[in-house]
Amino acid sequence: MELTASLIIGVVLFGIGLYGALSQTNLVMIMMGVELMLGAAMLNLVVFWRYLHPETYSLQMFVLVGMTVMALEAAVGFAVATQRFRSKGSVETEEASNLKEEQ
Amino acid sequence: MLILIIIIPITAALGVLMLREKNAHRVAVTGSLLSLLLAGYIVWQVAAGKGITNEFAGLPGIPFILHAGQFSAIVLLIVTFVAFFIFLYSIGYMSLEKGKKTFWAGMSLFLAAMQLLVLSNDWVSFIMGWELTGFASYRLIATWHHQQDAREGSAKAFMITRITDMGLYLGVFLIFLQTGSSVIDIPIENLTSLAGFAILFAVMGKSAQVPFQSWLSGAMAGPTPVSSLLHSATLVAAGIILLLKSYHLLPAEVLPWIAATGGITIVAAGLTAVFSDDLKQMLAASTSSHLGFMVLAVGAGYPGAAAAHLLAHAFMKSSLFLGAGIWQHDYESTSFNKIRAAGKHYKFIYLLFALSAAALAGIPPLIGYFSKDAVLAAGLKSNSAFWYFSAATAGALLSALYAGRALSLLWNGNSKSNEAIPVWWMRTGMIFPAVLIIAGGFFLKPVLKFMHLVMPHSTAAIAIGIAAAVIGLATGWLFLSKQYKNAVANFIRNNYTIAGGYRRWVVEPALQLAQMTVSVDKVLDKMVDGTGTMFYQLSRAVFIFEKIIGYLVQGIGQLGIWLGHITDKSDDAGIDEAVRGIANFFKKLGVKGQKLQNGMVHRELLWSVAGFIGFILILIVLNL
Repeated sequence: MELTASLIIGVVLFGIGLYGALSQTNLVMIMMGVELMLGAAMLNLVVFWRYLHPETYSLQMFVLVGMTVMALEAAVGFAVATQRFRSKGSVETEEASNLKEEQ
Repeated sequence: MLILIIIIPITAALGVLMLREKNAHRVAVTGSLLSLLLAGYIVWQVAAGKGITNEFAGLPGIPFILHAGQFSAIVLLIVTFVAFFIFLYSIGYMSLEKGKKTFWAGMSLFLAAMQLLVLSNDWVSFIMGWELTGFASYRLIATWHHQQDAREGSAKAFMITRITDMGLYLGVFLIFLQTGSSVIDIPIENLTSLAGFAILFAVMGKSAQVPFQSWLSGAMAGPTPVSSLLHSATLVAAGIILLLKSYHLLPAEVLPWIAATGGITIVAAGLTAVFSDDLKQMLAASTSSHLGFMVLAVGAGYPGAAAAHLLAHAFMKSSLFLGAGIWQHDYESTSFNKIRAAGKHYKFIYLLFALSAAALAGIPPLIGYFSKDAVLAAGLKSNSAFWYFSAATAGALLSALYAGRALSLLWNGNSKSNEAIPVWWMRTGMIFPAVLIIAGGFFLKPVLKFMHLVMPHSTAAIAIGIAAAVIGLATGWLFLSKQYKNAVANFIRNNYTIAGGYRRWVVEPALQLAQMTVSVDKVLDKMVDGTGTMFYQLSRAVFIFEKIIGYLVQGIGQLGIWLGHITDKSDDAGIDEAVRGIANFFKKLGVKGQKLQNGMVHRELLWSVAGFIGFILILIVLNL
């Protein structure tokens, strides 16, 4: 029962994150969505560990690695956003059409 | 020392050839005079008891030996004496004629060769002298080489003597094989008779014996001094000298044959002389006849008589020829028709001529009487006295006959004369031999004794000889006609040409043979040519074959090129288009794919999410 409920929370979080990543035009908001999805995935991981194999410690390391990846990815993404802002003055994705392939 | 007497005339000959023509006679006469003086000196030395012998290095084991003993010294002296006075005569004779250089050079060369022949004591140098005299004769007869009869006569003389020279070669080879030495005066026992016959053969040719006497008639086409020196006194006497030098070698069975040859020649040539119609031809036949006397004497076994007659005949005949030469100059011919009564205009010359002719007939006390008497005696004392003596007597009679006839023809009758010839030199040349003819008879016997030869003597021979001489001269003067035109006389005059003579039996077959070999040669030539052409054609055929291969290769190449063109086109049209089509397709695909990257980040994100969800669905469906 607790397992299913936690999983549903995880799913809801993932869904929100996904909706946010898809519908937001601002790069920062897209990044937030991605973070949420990652968080939801990690929540799933932790839930499955807590309720199925609580004696295995190696999953804790896996979650920590995931968290590190989240952080790094966020850092790189914000660096790109910062750089974009410095050159173009905005981070809206709708205005980034100059990234397209040259015809 | 002895070699000098040979070198001097050779040097003179070279000098004549190198200097100008007007000096030619001076050089030649000087050479001859020096030779005469040297010969006199040699005789003086030999008479003092010192025979001179010079040996020279010749072939290995066969040295050249020149020897002046009693016999050769006297003969040498006679040769140079006669030569010198003929040279003097020739100064006058050749002053009016062309061909001086050839003449004088040839005469000097001849003199040198004759001296070599006389002095040689080994067979090799003897043959050298023999051959050189033959060559000099060939050159001299053809002095006036623009005349056809001179060329023909010269060739005939040379060919006939050359063929008979083979006898000499054969004889010398046999002597050398049998004894191993080439020295002449060594005694040999039992020489093969073949060698004797071979030597006889050579003598027959060189001394114009039957059947080879016709070359002498042809040789009369040369200048008269040539006839006088060569063909009466010396060259034809070379045969007799050969017989005398080799007398000690000759085997006994050859001697009768020698005598037979001599005997037949005496009579046959004597008849030719009687019937002749030209003075020089008569003298030529008479030379043959008198050489026959000498050969007969050798065959009869008395070489002394032959030597005596050799010496006497040299003077007589040469002086007769010299006289004939003077008339030849004036009348441009020696035919009896032309020189009728020529003697009346040249009385002194006629006197000398008559003297020599009388000596030839054998009238005492001229030299001819003594020598002919010796030959007659030799014939009488020999083994077959009947034949030899009758032949000799017939010869004596005939000599007197033609001598008388010639004298008659030259005196009786009418003729004109030009009298414009300078006869001084010619007269001088004739005088000295005439002196010897008159005085020499008394010296013959002592000279022969000096030469260690015996001169036979017989009263019967003397009587018959004088009778023959007187009868013959009288008959010849009074009775013999000036022309004989019947067939028999013509036959005899033309040297007994039997069935066409040498011309038909020797000359023409030889020429035919030559023609045949020319045709054979031509055929061989054609064959060689044909072979060459055949191979050439073959090579050309091979070349065509090569051409075919060339075409073939070219064709293959063309095929390849054509294939290349096709593949080129198919490449271009087909494969290239296909590739281009694929490329275009992918390009279009790319263009379309480009739209995925239109810079709209949102949309791109949407695509990635959709793709991800699709992937999850597939996994769920496939139960993985």
